[in-house]
Amino acid sequence: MMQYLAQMQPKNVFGSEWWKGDQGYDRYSWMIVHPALAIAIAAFLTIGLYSLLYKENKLYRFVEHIFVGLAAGYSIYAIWAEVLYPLWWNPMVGQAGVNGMPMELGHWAWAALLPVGVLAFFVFSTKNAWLSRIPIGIIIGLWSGQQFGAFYSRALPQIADTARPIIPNTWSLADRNAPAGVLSAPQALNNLILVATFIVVLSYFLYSFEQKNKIIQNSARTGRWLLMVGFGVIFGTTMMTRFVLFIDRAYFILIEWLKLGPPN
Amino acid sequence: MKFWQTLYAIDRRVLYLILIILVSWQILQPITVPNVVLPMSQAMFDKVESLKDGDVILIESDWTTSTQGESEGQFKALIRQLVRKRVKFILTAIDPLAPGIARLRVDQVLKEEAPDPPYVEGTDWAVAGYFPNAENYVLAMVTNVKDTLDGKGLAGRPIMKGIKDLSDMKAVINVTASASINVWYERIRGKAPIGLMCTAVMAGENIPYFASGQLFGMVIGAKGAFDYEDLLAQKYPDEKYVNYQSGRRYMSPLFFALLLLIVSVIVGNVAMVVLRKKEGAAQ
Repeated sequence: MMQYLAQMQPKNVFGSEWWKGDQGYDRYSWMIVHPALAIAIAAFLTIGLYSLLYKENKLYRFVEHIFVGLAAGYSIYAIWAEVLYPLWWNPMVGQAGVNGMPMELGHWAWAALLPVGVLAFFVFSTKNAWLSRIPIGIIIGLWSGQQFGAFYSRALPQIADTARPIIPNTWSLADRNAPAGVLSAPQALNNLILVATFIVVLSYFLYSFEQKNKIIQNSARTGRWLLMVGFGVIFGTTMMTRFVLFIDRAYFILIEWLKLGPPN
Repeated sequence: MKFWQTLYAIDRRVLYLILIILVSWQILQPITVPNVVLPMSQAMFDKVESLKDGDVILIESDWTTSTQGESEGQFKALIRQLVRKRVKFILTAIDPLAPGIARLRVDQVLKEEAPDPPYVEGTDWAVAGYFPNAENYVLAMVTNVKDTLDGKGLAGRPIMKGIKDLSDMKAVINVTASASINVWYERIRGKAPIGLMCTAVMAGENIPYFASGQLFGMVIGAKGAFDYEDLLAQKYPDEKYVNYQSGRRYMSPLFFALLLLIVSVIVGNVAMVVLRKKEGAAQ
């Protein structure tokens, strides 16, 4: 059994050995199909995915399932080859001394993790689903314990950064190379906008009492408008990302596949 | 009335068709788009430029082909700068697909740059591969970077010489299309400065971290890649260098695509207002 498992030892696809190949050849020069055919297949799959823009169709479903299957299969392999094998299996079984490397004794206590992990699969059992909560509980417990430090490191510098000077000490225009302590008028105005935005947006989230005070009402209304501006920015940048993804694929089809123009 | 109703409810497929025509036209016959480098891109470039020959940095590359349009240009521009500065780098990822993709791009850049002496894997750069669970990975890197990387095949490699703690690395740069940077904000404990190369959609969420100094630099989307390529071209104008690639390449199609979006939003809203007024008058 151990010999069989040793033969099944996965090769690290992220290591240089795999990419160089067993016989020392460059794996890029070796492809299952001709490169032109590989590009044509990729172009066909790209067009298949974008066919959804016209309407839902079987070609789109087919390509989507190929993608999901490939990603899932590759991920499972990567988890075994990259994580479980080197970080769990190897320390557990140890290693024989070969090629001048010293022998390493196995630490069989690692085996205790297997039944705990397997409990997660009881989520598929209607009768014993509660067992799956044990590993989930361990993970949540570990995660929760870290959250105090995480919040401190992430949020406190943000809160501290809202305390900014808003009165300029020079009336010159903003200079990126200005010495420390010099606050130009445009920079002071930027700081004022930031501090004011922080306060009015925060006032919008005062839900603990009814907002009857006129100042609070106006502040919350302004905060809501500024939030809308923020959402507009997010919408705009989202569209930018989506457009670039499409442009990248269009470039691939027009230039790399159809070769309608020179690469630029 | 019918004219405004048509404008108000244009079939989305018509808009897609216009988009395809505009983008195809600009890919085949691009116009030159002027560029003003963003301060956050400049800060990232300056920080990397300040690194010395032999310094080691950590690059967490969490992008895959799904955001190749934006992330590839950023990643390759960064690797070019590192190679020209002869800064060493170790690649990690929290996405199982990412390490293979990053390795391909590094090999492409090394082939194009042809550094002399050559960049040797294990000595000048290394791929530590995939780490599951971002929280535990970052925690392990922060508390015991040596054992964490040794366990991923880097034990005894020359690049690990002198790396005992994360603070021995001069920077951590996260090239990402996901929220993986949040874990670094939360757990870095000031051990190394963090830089971010992200997709445009992540910009709004992360700019405050640059403003507060939690990030030393930030490169945003295809525009950030274009910034970086411009900065590379200014710093390394020699013709032997490849400075411009997908960052500049995608700017003119993006310009026209965004123009179409803006026009569509204006037309749709004007049509809505006109229709509401006409309906109000009719009642």
